[in-house]
Amino acid sequence: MHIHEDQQFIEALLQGDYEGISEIYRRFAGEVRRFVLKNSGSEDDARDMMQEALMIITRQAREKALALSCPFGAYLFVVVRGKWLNELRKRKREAVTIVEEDGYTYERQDIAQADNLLLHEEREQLFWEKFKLLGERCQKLLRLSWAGSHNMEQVASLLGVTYGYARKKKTECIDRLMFLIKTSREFALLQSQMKG
Amino acid sequence: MDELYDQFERYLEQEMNPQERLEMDVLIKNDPIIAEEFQLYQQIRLAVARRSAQEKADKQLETQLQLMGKNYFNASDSNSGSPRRFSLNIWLAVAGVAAAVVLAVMFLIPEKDLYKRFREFPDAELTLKGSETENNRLTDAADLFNAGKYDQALTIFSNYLQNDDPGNIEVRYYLALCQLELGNTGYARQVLTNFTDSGSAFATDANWFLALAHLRENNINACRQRLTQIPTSNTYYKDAQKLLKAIEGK
Repeated sequence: MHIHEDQQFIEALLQGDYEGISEIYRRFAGEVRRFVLKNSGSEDDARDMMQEALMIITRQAREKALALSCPFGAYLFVVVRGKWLNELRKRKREAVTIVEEDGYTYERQDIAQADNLLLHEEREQLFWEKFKLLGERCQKLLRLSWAGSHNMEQVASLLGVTYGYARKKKTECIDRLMFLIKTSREFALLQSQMKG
Repeated sequence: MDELYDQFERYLEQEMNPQERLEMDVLIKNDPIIAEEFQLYQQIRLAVARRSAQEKADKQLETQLQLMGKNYFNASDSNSGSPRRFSLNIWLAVAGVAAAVVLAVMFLIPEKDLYKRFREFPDAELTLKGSETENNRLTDAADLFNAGKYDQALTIFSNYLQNDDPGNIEVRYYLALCQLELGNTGYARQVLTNFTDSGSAFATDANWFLALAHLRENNINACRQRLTQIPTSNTYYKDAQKLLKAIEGK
């Protein structure tokens, strides 16, 4: 597959390269602003959308070694567009029409791919937010336990507790996390989007 | 279902004996509900592990993007300068009066739905430093709190403060959250305000719950003021920003 020369922007995000990220903002912030303002958003919304889209792209690049085959701007806008559409749906809770005038042409599959990416991202974000609501001890125990580098005896030893206690506590923490996730309204919405 | 998660965990951690493992394989293969639950459990586990490993890098990038965003976007809403609004300013003036009337009416309606949407309590985890009886009582209260039985937790917390350890700040904090949830917002505010001035570990979080108390009381200005005091580093910062947007949009 031919890798687009804009791959340099992905690398800049992955490296946290100041010059490269400045270039991304210099070239694309104006278009993101115009798009969001044209679609019922504010300057603050545009800034948030740009930031969140770049975070999503970076996470995807880290997880799946993202290789760009299209211009970075087009990819960024597919993500911004989907993200902003979701945001409008959440705010208005009704059908939303987007005014498309960003200068890029989208393939149907690009939009479907971005929708899947955003759905995946929103689910992960929800799981993470609920995890962060757990108490500190639960968070530490699950972080150590799920990092894949320690067995339960080692986790118990690192936490200075008995194996039995760590095992019991872990079960409690997992039950609590699953309860927080599965009883949330956001989870129900995301599940219905996945099945729809 | 709770037992099922324990089995999933033992399965994924290779802690099952061959017979148990075989039974679990069969269960996952033949029962679509169990299979779906197992898939979700794996996704949650993987997401938490991944986010946890990348947390520091994510935070660094987020800070960098926030700073960059300030340079390339105006600090506050510049919608007022858009051509559409400019050309429709007369209609907007009329709409503005109507909106003010609607807002005035809306602000009189209790913000119960908004409170419910944003109310999410942390787990109560209490330091156990008393006698075995006291510790058992606190553990029971924490379990009740975490199970959402706030009235029962409140009773134990109150007794504990009266009879055992009146200065226990952890218990005071969770007691305030019980009061908040049960609608005794005046009491909750009084206790939480002390926390915001205390410099304790609960200080910044207390601002978030104070904002929710004001929201329950329909005091939007006080709610907004508290929300703006929550720093970006706080767990509730994102929720605070979302709530700010929600109350501005009302």
